[in-house]
Amino acid sequence: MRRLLILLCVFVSLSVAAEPLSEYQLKAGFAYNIAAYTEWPATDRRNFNFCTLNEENVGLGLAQFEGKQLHGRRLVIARLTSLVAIRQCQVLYIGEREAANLPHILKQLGDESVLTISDASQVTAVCVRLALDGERLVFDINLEHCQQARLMPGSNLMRLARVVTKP
Amino acid sequence: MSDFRVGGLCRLLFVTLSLALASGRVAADDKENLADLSLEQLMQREVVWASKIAQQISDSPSAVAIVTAADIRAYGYRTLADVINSMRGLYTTYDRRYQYMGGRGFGAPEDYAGRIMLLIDGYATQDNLFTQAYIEDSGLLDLEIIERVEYVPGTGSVTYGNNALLGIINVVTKNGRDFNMAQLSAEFASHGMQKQRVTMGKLFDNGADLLLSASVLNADGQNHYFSAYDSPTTNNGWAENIDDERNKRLFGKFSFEGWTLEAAYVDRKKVVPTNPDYFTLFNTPYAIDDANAFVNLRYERDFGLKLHSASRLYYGYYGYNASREYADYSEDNIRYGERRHEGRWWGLEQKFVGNWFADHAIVFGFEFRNDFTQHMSRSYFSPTYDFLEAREEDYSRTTTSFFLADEYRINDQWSINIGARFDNASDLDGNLSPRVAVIYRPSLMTTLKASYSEAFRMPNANEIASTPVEAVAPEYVAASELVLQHDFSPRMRLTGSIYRYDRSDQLVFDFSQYEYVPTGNSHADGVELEFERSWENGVRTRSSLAFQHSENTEGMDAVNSPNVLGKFNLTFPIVADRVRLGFEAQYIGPRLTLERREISSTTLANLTLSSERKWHGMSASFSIRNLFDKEYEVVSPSGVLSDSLRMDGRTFWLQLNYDL
Repeated sequence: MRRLLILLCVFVSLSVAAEPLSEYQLKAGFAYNIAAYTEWPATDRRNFNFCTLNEENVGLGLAQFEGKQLHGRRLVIARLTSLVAIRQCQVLYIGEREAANLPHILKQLGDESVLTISDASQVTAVCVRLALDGERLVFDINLEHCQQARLMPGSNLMRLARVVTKP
Repeated sequence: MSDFRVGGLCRLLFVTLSLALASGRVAADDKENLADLSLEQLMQREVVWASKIAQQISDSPSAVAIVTAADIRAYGYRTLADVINSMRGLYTTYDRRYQYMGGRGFGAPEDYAGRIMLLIDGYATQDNLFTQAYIEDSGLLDLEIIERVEYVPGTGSVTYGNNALLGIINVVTKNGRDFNMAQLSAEFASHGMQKQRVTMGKLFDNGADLLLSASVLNADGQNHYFSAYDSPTTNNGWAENIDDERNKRLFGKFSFEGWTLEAAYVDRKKVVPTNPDYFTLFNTPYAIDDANAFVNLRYERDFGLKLHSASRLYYGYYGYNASREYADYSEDNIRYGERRHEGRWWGLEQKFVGNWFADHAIVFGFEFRNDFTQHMSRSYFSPTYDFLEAREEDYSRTTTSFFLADEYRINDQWSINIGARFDNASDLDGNLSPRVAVIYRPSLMTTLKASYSEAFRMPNANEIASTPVEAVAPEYVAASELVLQHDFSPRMRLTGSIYRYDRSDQLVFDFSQYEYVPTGNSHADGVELEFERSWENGVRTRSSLAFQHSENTEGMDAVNSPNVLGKFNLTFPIVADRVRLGFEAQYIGPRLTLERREISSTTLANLTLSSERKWHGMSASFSIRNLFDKEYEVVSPSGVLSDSLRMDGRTFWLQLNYDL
């Protein structure tokens, strides 16, 4: 038992406050910023629902944005595991595990104004796709899918995007 | 092995772990808020990519070991027992009836594969007569439909209730989309083994997913020699033509919009050559037939944005038939015996996960289980097969359980997991199983977990039948574990674990009262180390060492509990990436038999070649097990006449698959 305590102490003493970002934190940061620079049609909803679908890690990375104001509304982070509530989301971050289910997800969303984001490599039919380019994270915008949801990515997003696909 | 050496190993682990941490990346920036970084800044940031080594999905503060579908193929695993044998600190013992699992001081002979949970997609598969987990050809699944196997060491009663003493084996099956075609498969192996399988999988346009699979196995087996029976009256020690095996398996899984209906069935017949019973006649058929089946209906949905619900309704069946011939029927005229046991149960589980509070995940729910059939029947027959007498025993039990846990993320570094489960069985007092765990992440690559938990195991029908009523009581274990996981890079991971298990209220035989009493205590402690690495060119390696020391209820070294276990796995592509070679070596240290005789250590090697890419829809695997034809023995679980059993020499296995 004493050894366990010593071990614990060593780790505590070695710990430091800050560190590089994890992949999931970075993806969460990207998703948050992309949402901040996208325009939604006017609405009277009080909450801004930022959802992840079967992507627990990014969902946890987003947790620290919870309660912030985004587009004048209170940010609510929801880590969803099923499609039941996805039409209530303003942003839907679709994880790798749901990639095969995408056609079905899009059908469920219909013409709701939901910003779809995914980092799954096989997914293209979303508004914003996160991708790995060398050691950096980049994003591509597919305007066709943004416009279907009546969303307008801001000009700085268009400038920073690696690829912008026009309809 | 003495405590002193375990102590030395603790120090070694400590030094290794410290070095591991020191070499890890530790930046000294001030604490910054992710929310304050602009997109431009984020795009320039240095990132620690998530591990490319398989990540655990089980929610557990212990050191989970994972075997994926890719490993199953690369190393030619054919049964769950093969998978378990490759895992850190685990081993199995085969007596040509069943494979029994052992590790961390568990796995005493005559335990069956008990004291462990074997879950298939969340359904606990153990039967309700012997609480056995079936891990060889009597197991429910063909390995080709398994996506991954996770071994979660440490107690699991806080989540799963009864019987999760040693740990949990969590099997996740594939989906139809992983096949999206029909596959035919044929297998051939030593000792006249043949197997055929057909699997069909499809993902439909509306999101529905279907997987169906069926297989048949037939094996002739071998003639075995037992020196204990080497006399002219018992065929000079040879058990001839009584080692054959047959099984049939069916599996189906259908999922649609949060609903999953899953069903599996297996029927395995095995003739046992070892004469495991004191009264039976050597070299006569002793046949066992185990059937297992379940239907599990699951429904998962979110209620609003903050409440997740998972509901399960399940039905399980176990059937056991056995026939034997007695050696001496001069007094009672009983020459043949038959056993026909049956178990049936159903259950309902409702689990909620509430994310109402930003840093809390609150899990709560209940389970109701009704073991409505626990029927054991023994019939006896004369030499002319006339019915003489029968003994029937019937039991039943209902169990109502409630559970509550909170996973609290204090900050990026610290989180706490506190939970408890209360199980109330109709024939026993209620029992509370608590767990508390602290998880600390000093850096993105390092995780330290400390946990304390308690688990219990109710006596099963077979034990109730053979114990005096006063002795029918649960057995307990308290487990403490400290785990370190450090990723040197996304492709290199070190896992270390130090644990202690204290068991109590075990059944022991009291010679003064001349009956069983539930007063036994014992303990086990140990250290485990595992190193995993993969390279982008497809090379993967995993090696582990486990040191354990376990004592039985009399304070002596426990039987069939080796002090050292080592595993080494290496796989890489050859022949211009067309073929994959998988090599594994497994060391099992000396261990004691029921006669307290020491069996010497063994190192076994297996080699597998598998096609890396399909050629016109065809793929193949070829394995050599016990590559160097090593002669070795295992502890005999029954200990009848011989306290050890000789295992197979070199064997071959070929599998051919064709996708339609």
